[in-house]
Amino acid sequence: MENRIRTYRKDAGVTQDELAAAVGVTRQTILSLENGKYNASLQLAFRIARYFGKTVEEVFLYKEEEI
Amino acid sequence: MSFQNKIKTRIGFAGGYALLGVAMIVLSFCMPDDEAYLSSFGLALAVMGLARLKQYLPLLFDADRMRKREIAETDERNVMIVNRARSLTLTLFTVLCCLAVIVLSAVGLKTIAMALAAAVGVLTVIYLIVYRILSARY
Repeated sequence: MENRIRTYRKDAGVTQDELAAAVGVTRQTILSLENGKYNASLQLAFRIARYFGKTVEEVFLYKEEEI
Repeated sequence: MSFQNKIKTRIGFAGGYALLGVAMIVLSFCMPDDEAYLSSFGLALAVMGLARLKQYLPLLFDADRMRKREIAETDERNVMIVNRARSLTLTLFTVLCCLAVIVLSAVGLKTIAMALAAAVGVLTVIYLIVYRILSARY
């Protein structure tokens, strides 16, 4: 699943470490999310979206064919 | 249970392991026969207990380290990796055991092959029981 975490993070001027600490995960998890290697759980997706003041749909791009 | 309480529980267990290990070493010296296995097993337990104490005790006095440790242990990607590693290990172990049973039977070591086959059977039964319990829970 694609996401816009890197874009929103850079817009907010936040480092991966800072974002990781704010949402309660490791920096490696943020890195994996940004590189599309790992899909966040619903809980983490909501935490990240709320951190940026966005909705989950704005941060995570769901495509029907991924089912 | 809060993460701090989890760490305290682990410290308790680690202290228990260390004490048990020391007790086994002392006991091995008091025995008339040379109980080498008792002292070496005791030493292993004591070292493990002390290593864990060294690992966990500082966390109680450093809130930042405690928070970092909690994040590292509860991080969902780490949890996923641990679960996948366990799953893959179980699969590989079972396949290797089955191959070993075939090879051991072929070379005539039937008793060992039977024991190994029984162990794999028990593992499968445990898996099915745990699967049933988890299916009912979720």
